[in-house]
Amino acid sequence: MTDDTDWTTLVPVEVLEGETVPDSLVELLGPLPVVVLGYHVLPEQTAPGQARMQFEDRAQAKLAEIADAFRAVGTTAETQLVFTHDEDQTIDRVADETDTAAVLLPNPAGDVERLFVPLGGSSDVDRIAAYVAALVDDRSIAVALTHVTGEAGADAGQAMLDDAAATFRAAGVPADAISTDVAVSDEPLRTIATLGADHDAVVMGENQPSLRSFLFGDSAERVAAASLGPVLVVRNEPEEQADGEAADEDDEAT
Amino acid sequence: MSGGEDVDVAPTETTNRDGETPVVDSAETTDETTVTEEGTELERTIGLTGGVAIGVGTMIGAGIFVFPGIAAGEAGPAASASFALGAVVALLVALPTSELATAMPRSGGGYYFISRGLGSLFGAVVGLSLWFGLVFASAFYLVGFGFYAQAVLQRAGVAFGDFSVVVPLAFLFGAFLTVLNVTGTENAAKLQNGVVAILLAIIVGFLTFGGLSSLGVIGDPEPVSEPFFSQGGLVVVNTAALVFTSYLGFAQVATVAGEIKDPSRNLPLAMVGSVLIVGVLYVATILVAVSAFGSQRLAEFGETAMVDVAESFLGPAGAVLILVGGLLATVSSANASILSTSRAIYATSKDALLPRVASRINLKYGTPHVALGLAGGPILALTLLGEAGVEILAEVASFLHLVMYGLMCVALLVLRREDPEWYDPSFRVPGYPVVPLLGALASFALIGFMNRASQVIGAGIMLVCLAWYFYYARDVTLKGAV
Repeated sequence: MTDDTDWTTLVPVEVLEGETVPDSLVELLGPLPVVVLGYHVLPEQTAPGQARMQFEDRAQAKLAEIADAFRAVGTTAETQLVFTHDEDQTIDRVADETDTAAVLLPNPAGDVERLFVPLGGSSDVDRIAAYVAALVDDRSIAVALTHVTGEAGADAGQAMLDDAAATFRAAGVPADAISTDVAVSDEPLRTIATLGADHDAVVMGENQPSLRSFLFGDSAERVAAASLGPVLVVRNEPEEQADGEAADEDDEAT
Repeated sequence: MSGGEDVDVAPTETTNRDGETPVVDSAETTDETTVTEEGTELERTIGLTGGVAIGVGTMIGAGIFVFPGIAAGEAGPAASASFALGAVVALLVALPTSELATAMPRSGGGYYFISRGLGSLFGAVVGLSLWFGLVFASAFYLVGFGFYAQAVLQRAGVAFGDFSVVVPLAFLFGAFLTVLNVTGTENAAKLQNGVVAILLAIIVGFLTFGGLSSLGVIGDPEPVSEPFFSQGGLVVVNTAALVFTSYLGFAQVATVAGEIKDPSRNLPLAMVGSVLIVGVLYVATILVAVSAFGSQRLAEFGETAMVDVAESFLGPAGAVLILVGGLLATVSSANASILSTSRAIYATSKDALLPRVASRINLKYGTPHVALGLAGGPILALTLLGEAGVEILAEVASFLHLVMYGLMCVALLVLRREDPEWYDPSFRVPGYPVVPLLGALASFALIGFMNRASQVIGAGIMLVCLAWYFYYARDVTLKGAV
């Protein structure tokens, strides 16, 4: 599964709304190839082609600037510009088409020295570990593995984290960078967001079958909004992705 | 994958009076996007349900909620035959339109097909006429809204004496819709789907009850029987020409062809499907309404005749349901038409037939405020024609659309004959060449059965469009510029 994966990361930027990618995140993603997705969301009164006629040059220029910043730190950066009525559909589609392993929810960020990695029972630990290992590369970035659970699950949670830590070490994350912590809480999401705020960036797995529901559903939004930091969502394996897509075929996403 | 391969038939030296050239995308169509030459992608976001909702939502307002009284007055019980005839004509055009749309799934619909198939002269006349055709249609729907809004107020006990508030209500609401479309960035498409679902539920419920009642199974009202062709046979065709406004919506699906997902499947299904759905409902509605009251009583009730029909079946609750339905339906038709007008203006302006400024987008709201203004202004002016003008508004709208429909069929015949390399539709019209030929003949013939006044106004508008083309854009070349 992992050896031939290049861990391409999708960086969606609402390019004409003045969004940009903070330098520290460019730095963080340095070891991985990125696809910078510039997109512009239009109300239904406006044909996407109409906006393209007026804004394409400006959007391409901004997108090129962002891509150059990535290339300056040695990353391979591709760009894609999309005019759309539906941002979720666009991000989902481009993520599928470019086989991205993770999607960045950009937020203002300082230098990233500590990653927060919440793991649940259903997390694909192998995949998240491999992604984090590729991301950390040979830099000294601390990786805090955390399991949030109710009172009863604390022991099982610690056992799960011990296994996970072994997986992360095997994937190439230095042993001294890894810490584990079981947090007891009845409100896992809020706790994840609160703990995430104490770290520089969050890396979490995609739990739901559809990236769309995860990215923009309540959970990730709350984590990203409450932690005020960037969140990297590691996507499920491509095979599982295909199922989600078929189910969405006639989805009225307008 | 479907439709256009990359084609570079870029026209040369084709500037309009302002020195602007058509923006030609040598675009590739995928199921979910249009990919332009530069690699920029335009996302397709409207699915099959959304496409059908656009078609049905645009059409259903007029045929069910405005025309039954008027049509029954003209043609007697045979008004249902008029609606059936209209449906046949619409189908004969919807099938060729589906083929053209799968070959050219781009914004602009009928205008786009004709300008690419028959060249910029026909394109300009049709494109600009379509603008005005939609303006007339929108004004017609708004006046229909005015009738329903007035009826609602009257039932709520608001008295205006003898003074009719239809026109003021239509005008105010038209202004409101225009402003809302310029400033509103909330996504109303989901709302539109919901509105159409509610309307269909109301209408099917009404028809079920009314149908049982007129068959004598339930209810009080004694079915009225009168000869089917009480007003003669030919008047059926005249009435079909009048009520054809009820079938203008399927082509509106083609104006957003560039935004429909999986266009080779969804465009034909949405266009043909929406014509079939509304056609069946129209015919059934007229049959039920006529059997309840007889055509002359129905004619006396006028634009809101359906309210009285429903009241006779279901009491006050029926009246309230139809009033709500009438408001929703006329609003949804008017709004869909205003949006289509803006798309039509964009399509012609993109091709340099109108100044480029007409398709400018407002930075604050991201909406095409100039095009919406060019739609809303004339619409508001036309609503002032008011109650007396209802039939003229409807017929001129139909006139201008029918010219486009006929020419679309001609464009298909020409394209099949010339068979250019880029023409590769994934849906092929059944019964070629008979269906497009009949579609063209029926469209043009129906125009002949309209009121003289409507014909004169319609022809006048086309002449103005023609004059504009020769003044402003005679050097623009569009044929084959896909």
